[in-house]
Amino acid sequence: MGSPRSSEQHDVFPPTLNTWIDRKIDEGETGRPDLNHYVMSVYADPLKVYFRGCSMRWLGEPDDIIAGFFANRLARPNFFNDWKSAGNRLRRWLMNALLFYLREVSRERRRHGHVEDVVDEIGEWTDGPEAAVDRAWAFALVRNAWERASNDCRDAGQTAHWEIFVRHHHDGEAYRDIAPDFGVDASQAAVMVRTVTKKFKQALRDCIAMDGVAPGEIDDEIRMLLEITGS
Amino acid sequence: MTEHADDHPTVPLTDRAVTRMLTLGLSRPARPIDGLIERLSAPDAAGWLDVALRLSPAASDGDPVDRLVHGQASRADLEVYKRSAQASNAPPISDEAMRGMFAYFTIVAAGLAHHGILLTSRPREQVDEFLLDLAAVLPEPWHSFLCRATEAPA
Repeated sequence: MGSPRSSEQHDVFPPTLNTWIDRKIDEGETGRPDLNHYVMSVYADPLKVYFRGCSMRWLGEPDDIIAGFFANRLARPNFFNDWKSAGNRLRRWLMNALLFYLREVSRERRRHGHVEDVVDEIGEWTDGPEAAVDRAWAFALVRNAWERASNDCRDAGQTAHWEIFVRHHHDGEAYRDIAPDFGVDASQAAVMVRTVTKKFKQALRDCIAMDGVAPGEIDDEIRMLLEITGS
Repeated sequence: MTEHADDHPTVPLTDRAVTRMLTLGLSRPARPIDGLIERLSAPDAAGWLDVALRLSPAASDGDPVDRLVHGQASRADLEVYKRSAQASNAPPISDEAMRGMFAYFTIVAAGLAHHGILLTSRPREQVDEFLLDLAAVLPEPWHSFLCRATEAPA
């Protein structure tokens, strides 16, 4: 999926994400590039999953449809203000917005006579998309936190910390097997991993808060995602 | 703030990896020992550790450093200490429970380091993981003792 990291310069959100997103919304057009960049990075894959499970998937390739959706909706000045007013989770808000967008595209196609591939009623789902979208969102969350934490480590001169973290938590290697490669003992490796784990944890929780999850509900959200990914 | 191009390759994520990484985001310690590690990372940890050592079951027979780190406790002694450390009915996040957990893992470490036995039903790999995490927040001689215990055959 797309990454919030790119060669372009983007302001990154600080630990209190609601503050970050509120500030970006308040900034109006000035804040929109960062906001849009973040949303496209984190939500493109979940929305593609949603589209693939939708009866209107005949409308086009997922990459093209989602790119068109972002170009259309994220350009609207009040798009995020409307989301904040609605009080929904951002991913649900985007799913609803995508549905409306697909209907618009479908109507446009009908006007031009391109209806030969329509097989279902518009707006019906072949199966419930929420779990599949949430699963894709879980992956996107982890990737986003992964990239933020890895960049934070690099900026802090903690590249070795990051590499040990990956080998331990991602690859499942024991400290004692990793440590010699970095000239440290196993316990020092554990300390280094603990440092990175704090960064990763904060990044993950920030990203969940960004979706509109209240601070007191973030653990429940993670547990829900763990059930979906097979904990 | 400024972002940079990501020099770190994005690792393909599997369900299992995502599950592991998501777990790291939970605010409550995923493992009971994480509460103990947090306690031992607090600014007043030195004082807390002094009390925990004074109240350790091993302290009933002498200095816990001698009994556990230096290997004076016999296997039978360790079994008694372990049962005593497990006897508490205190709430899991209480100081008493954490002191019991501290005693428990130092006793298990002594079993490994001096007697080559695993005094717990937990898998060895998990025990080593716990001991190393615990060692990371402990001063000497406990730090080296716990590290040494993870290298002992059992």
